Amino acid sequence: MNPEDERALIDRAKQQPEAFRDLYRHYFPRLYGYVAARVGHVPDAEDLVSIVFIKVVEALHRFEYRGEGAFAAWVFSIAHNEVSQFYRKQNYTALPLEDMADSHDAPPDELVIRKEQFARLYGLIGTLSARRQEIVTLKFFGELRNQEIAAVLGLDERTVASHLCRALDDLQQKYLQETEKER
Amino acid sequence: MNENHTHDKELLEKVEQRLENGQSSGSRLLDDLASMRPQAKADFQQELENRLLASFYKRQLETKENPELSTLTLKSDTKSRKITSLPLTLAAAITAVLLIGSALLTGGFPGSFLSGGSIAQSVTFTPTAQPTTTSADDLYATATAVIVGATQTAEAASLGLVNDMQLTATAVIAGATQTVAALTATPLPTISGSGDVELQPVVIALQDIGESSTLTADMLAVAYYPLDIVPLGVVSDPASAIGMVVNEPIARYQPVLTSNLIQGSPLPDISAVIPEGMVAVSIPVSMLSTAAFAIHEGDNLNLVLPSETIEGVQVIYIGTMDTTDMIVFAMSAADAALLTSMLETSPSLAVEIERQNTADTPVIFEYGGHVTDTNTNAAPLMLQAGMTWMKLQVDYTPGMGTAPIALAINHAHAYGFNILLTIVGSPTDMSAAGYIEQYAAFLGEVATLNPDAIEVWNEPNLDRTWPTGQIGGAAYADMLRQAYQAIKNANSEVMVISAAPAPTGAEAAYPNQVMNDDRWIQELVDAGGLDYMDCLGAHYVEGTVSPTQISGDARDDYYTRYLGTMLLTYSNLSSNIRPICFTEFGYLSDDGYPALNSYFAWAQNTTIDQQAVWLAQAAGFARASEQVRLMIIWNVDFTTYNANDPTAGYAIIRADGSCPACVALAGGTANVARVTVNIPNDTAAVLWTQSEYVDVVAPLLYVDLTIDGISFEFQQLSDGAGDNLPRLVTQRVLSDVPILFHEDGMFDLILPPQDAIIIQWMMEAQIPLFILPHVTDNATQPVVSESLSANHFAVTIMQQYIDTSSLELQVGDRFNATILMGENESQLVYTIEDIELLADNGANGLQFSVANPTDAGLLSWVEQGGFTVTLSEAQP
Repeated sequence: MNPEDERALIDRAKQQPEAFRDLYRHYFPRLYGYVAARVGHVPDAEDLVSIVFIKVVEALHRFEYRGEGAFAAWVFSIAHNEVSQFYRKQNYTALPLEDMADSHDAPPDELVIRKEQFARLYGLIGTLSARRQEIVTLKFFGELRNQEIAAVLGLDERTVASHLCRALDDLQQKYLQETEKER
Repeated sequence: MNENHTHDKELLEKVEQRLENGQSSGSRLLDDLASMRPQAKADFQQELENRLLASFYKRQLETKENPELSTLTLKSDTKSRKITSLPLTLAAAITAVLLIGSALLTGGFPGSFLSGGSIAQSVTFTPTAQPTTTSADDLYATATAVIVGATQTAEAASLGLVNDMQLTATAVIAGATQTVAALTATPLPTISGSGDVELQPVVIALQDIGESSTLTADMLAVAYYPLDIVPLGVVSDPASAIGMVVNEPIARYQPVLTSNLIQGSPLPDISAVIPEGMVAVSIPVSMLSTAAFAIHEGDNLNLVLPSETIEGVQVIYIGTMDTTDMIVFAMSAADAALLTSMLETSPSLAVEIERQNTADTPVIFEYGGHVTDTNTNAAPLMLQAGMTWMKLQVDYTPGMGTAPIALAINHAHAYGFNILLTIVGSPTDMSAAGYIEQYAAFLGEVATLNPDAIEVWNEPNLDRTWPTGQIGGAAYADMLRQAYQAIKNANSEVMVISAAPAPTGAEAAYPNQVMNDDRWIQELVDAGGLDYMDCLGAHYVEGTVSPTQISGDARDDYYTRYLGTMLLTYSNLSSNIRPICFTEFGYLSDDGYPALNSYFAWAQNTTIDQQAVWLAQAAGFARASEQVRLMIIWNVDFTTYNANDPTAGYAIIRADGSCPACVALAGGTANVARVTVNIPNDTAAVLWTQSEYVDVVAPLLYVDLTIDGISFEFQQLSDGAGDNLPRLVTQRVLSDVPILFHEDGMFDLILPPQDAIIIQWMMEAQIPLFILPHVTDNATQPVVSESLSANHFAVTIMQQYIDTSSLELQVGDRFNATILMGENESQLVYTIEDIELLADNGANGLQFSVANPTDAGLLSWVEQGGFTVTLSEAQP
């Protein structure tokens, strides 16, 4: 969605349920992907995603569009905050893999492979620093631009890009090592 | 362009190529990452969408912000139906009807009674000025039809007021022949259409209905549900619900179930509101006396009898029963039996009511920020920082209205924040007759707007906000009492915070103009002020060192310089009966601004990075203290900065728009990573254990005369007996902490950051820790007396470690056990209350029953530690 379209959609979504529904459908997969990857547990992810969107509904009429990426940054800021609060309440650091791959609609044999891949990738992401885990998750599962990630995390965009590159280099190296081991 | 830069650029381009265009990036890692996004279950996405749309409609209904809601025309994609001569009042009702219906059509409300199968498209509305004749050509809806008619409308219809109504098009079936139902003067028909859906009337709540409310007609409406989705046990006829009492809350638009209702009667049927496991006892008001504080339903109180105090009774009803004014309390069956027996045997019994000491109630810590306007652009940053409260200061003038305050509250709530309002007037106005009464009434009016907390005045220990020469905690207590009663009478949910005094020791230099905050609070407490607050207000705005320090301020070591000593002082002054609310908490830094003038030069070395880190540490510290209810950061977004007023220097959003404190707060308090605290094993009073998990008993804020650098008045903080014994003011128990031992004699405790701050702070202050093996429910006990109660622990102690103080020990007796620990056995006093002697095993020791596992662990270490336990008789 280009920025002009998104702005128009947001304006309409403040009044029109159909527009809000379109906005929801656009953001749901990304937001769910990010939250689920962060909390690693389907019921918790569903609870948190529900809370985030309800907050969006309640506050949308106050949202002021301040340029490209502002809405995504706002929505993901709420999500980031909810995830942080969740961890504070839960008081744990683990990134469980519990059935996160189950929801994918795939044949059983593919599902097994997918679960393995999933576990491996998540294991590798878990070796990154907390900051880099957050950035990689926002990037690949939230599909945010670096500028939006910067806004969510209160960082400079260049810092985000640098963290992302170092994280991917690190992951690449480990991914290759694991692939070598498999052979 | 260097090599790294080129590499990064190419890598980022590959990422964008994969994510934005969906093309293979040529990198297996990137492709796998991009395809591994967790996916939601399809039904969850749909259910949430339905709930959100329902919320969307509900919100529009409530706020009426959508001009399209004033009137409507329904659009139809099928046949034409007529709605003629629709009276305006009815039109309004039908407007609501169809909006509610449409919400149901699109999936229902939270806890929806509609299953996913009956969902289809949404309803659209376009405005018309006067729906006197509306063509149902415009009617367009696609799901199962639901018609809602307010009971008033039905009543009006039955009275013939709308007999001319020919409402003919209200139910439309998705993808099927339209079902057309005629709502005639018969109020509650089961509607059968010509289509394939039969509808049944269901009584629903038109508003949120609280537990024990008596239902009235204006609370209810009738919705028509397709038979296949009617919940079990619904009420179909509002007449059968009106006058009944609700035994549990019913949310707006939820159906009313027969199981929700109990018979109402002239005498209150309080069975619905008695907490589970409790018993109700009514006492005539004539037998009760209080210290003149207001009592409300829901209050938790103590009943003081001549020989007993029954603690923690709940007020469940205040009113008249059989022409006698009564208060009904809920309490345990044992307490009820005792009280009833005393009431029966002593008809002239005087029962004094006192407020329950909330010291033992867990304090839930939250934090937020003081903003210039609750409709602030800083809200996302505040959310990011983990804040859940906004604070706004309101300048009160007699006669002012509340509309701007209502708006401010709505803005804060819309962003998802709780709101604290500090409402302060002018000292010059206070001389007017009736001023305090007017002020209190105004606060009551504000309370009806549903703020979450109100701070009654601001810094009344300075003549800036209180008349010169009249400053004093007792004078303020009178204002607080009136304000508290007005607020709680209007809305008992609002937290009342006493005005935070300005932290100062300047009263000697400014007599009649300033009163030291500690003395002012003491006066307030002595005047009974604790009875009229939920939280004790405090300000901490002059720190120049980390919140974990209790020394090192370049000015002096006056208690207001350090968070720890401030907290200690205030909690002592209030006997820890009320939690503490920091309504202003900040660090001043001139980074990014001109240098501070000499008056504020004390803060000249504080950097913005320190401000950020210290605020985050302070939040962790406050949370861990379990004494702080609220910490409002002073301030978020103020921009004033000049020689006399460097307010922006306190702001966490800096002149360049950055907010380092937001990042630090998010990381510092929300950070879940545990940190390691490395502790030398020879730290005083550390007990050895080989357990993998331990309990750490940390006497937080332990006042010890040997700690260097604290200069506040110990006598004032002692229990008044004039002794200089160290006191255990507040205890922190960290349970089930992983411990790692090292060969070099050190060990690590693995702790959450906020606990680690406490432990590090204690080590700095040379305060001893007690590391005890964690006792679990599965702990084996050698020979346990059969009289050991469930969830209790049996601990055996050899007689030589017990000082009975000449008490005669009888099995079944209850005692308090005081353990003296440390090198000279006066370093630390630890008291375990109410242990029961289970068995006297002679040479094999005495066996006690202990309720708390940490207490049990500590008691079981008495022998290894070479400590002495002194027993004293427990109060019955």
